[in-house]
Amino acid sequence: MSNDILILAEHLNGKLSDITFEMTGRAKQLAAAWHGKTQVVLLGSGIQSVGEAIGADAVLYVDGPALASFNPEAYARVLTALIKERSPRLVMIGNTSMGMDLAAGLSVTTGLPLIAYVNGLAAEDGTLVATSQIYGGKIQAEAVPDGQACIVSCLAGAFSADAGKGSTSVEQIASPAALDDLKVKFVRLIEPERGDVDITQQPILVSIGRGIGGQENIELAQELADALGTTVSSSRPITDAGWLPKTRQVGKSGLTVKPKVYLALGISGAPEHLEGMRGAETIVAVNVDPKAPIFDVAHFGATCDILDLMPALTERVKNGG
Amino acid sequence: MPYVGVVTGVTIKDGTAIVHKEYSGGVMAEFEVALPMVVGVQAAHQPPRYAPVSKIRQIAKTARIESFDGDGASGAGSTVRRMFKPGSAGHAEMWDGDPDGVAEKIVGLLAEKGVLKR
Repeated sequence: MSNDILILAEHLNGKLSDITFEMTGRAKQLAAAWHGKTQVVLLGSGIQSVGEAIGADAVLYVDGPALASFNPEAYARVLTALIKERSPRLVMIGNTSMGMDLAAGLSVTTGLPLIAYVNGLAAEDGTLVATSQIYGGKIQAEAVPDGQACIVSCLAGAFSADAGKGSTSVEQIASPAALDDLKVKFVRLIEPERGDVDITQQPILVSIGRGIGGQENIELAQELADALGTTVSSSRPITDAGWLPKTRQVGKSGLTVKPKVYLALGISGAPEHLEGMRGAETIVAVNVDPKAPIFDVAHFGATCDILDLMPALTERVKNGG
Repeated sequence: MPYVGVVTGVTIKDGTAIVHKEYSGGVMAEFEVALPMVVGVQAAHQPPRYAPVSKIRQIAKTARIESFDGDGASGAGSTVRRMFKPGSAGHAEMWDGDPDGVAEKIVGLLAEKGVLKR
């Protein structure tokens, strides 16, 4: 086993996801403690230059038509072979839609333990200590792998992305696994319908959650948003119910927003939602439950009923305060 | 068997599964997968239905639980050293008052942040 750390780069439409930089930055600190190196694995087709923005010790690039878009089977084959060949001490994968297709399977194919939903990593006297979210983020678990080596899947936003940015020469290597008999074939990307507003560009967002009660109450949020000259965004339950289009969803499976002011109305603050809005400059949360996790990340909060608040706020905004 | 997770839709066409996998921002990926396969379900088109207690009791009288030898499971694990409630970096400054009073404070904040045209 080496003391190196293998990190899977994640990308979509030729653009690296922040999770790649976040994991690389944390890996550099761990690798320094272990006197190892950080190696980022980039899989794709014709995207070698994309890897040059990563601040790792090395970027290993595997090119092939089967890797042109994310394919869980192709990725798993390449990564299994690379892990067995290079015996890294730690493998880091994003706890993302793509990463969740890979991490558990790689644990089986490589025999390495997996610690998932990781939001903290430390080297204590040479030992890896991973902190992860369980029970939907209500409890943190601090764990150590039973062996020396380990796979972790890391939550987005857990580590600083800046520390993982830099400049690295990309080394192209041959695929260590055959990719010509795949049972999974990528067909196409389906983009969301265009023409709707872009919630990532709004200086203020009126964001609603389960506390809105019913579809008939969305009108109240829309009136408030209209008065403020912005739009209504939401947490996942609202788009799952079909009350708002998917393009309005904030969070892990939605969009990441960083407005000047984020009004979280009736949103409890599940970890998946916090992931998409904790970067807002100012967060105002209103929820009848004073123990709602949203208040741990909000700057200002109130526990009144949003169905009473929204009309009152709309009226004040229309009257100029 | 092939596996695709975070799936929001599956249809079968000519013995092949057409699978829609959710990415962020409303983007989806479509895959064709040879059957049999394993699907990790993210969301269904209809909300889950819970069985009535009377039905559960009825089944409980006749259902058999089969047990099997689990010795085949192997692999390395990890040891949980401790579990704890997540500490928050901070907590919101709470505003008391009725909805109108809270609305007044929010409007003041919006004006201060320059996102409200008075």
